[in-house]
Amino acid sequence: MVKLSSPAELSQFLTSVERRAYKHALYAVRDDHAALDIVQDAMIKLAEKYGGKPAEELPMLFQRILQNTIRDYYRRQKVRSSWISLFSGMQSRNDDEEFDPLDVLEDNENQSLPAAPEASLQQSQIIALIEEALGNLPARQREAFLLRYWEGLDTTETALAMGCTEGSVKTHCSRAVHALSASLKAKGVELP
Amino acid sequence: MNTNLDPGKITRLLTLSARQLDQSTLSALSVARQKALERQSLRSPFFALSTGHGTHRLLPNIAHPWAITALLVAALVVGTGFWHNIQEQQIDETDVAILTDDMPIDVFVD
Repeated sequence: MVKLSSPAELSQFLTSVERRAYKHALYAVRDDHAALDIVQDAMIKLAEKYGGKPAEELPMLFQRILQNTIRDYYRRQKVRSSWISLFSGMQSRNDDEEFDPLDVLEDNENQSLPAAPEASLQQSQIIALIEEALGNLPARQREAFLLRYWEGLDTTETALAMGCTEGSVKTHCSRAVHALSASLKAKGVELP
Repeated sequence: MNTNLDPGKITRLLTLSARQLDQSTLSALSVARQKALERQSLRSPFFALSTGHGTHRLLPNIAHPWAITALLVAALVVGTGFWHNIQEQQIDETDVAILTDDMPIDVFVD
């Protein structure tokens, strides 16, 4: 008989995924408030619609909901910017300009911050560069890379979460690895 | 192009980054989680069949008896008022027709 997830199990599951889910959303939308909204929406949808599903089904369901919520955000942004440009004639907001990874690097070297060990500083810089490279990947490549390698889903599960074929997942992952490799190499990043 | 990039190394650093979120983000995530869990507890007994107490609950939580009663009383009051209004209008029209000697032909025809 299938065992349904209890509130405690759902809570435990959400606690285990919330940070990574936030990062997923942040890489995708580059706005921390929007990323938090997306994670909250995804959590609520999971709890409302699938809160009673067996605990082992929750990771796949949550990833699928999260990716769909991110896509919904893109669609809303697209509609909003088209209306804004239509009626006000103003330039649509360019989120790319708001996130400058150099700020992160400069901030780490800021003398007003508490002194960090050399290794930790270098690691933070590498992480910032990796996150920048991830943010610059096409959405589908980033999605495939994160689901496949960070979330540890297999090809079939990733394809289900992304709503595409397994072949597409393999292609997206391969291209993502190539693009990340080229981007990090161009910046002289050596992974520890 | 030959790549020797190990995705595992990247994801290890990403995990490290996810562990270093600031306190305000962690608080916001905690609030989001609590909101989600509240939604689950509201919806889970929707059509629950209780086995522990030997009773079967077939009505959803939202359908409280007092709410249904209030809804029925309100519908009855509105319906009665509406019906009275139509009746009065019909009587008024007949009265006016009689006084002005302008009765429609179908009144006189079987």
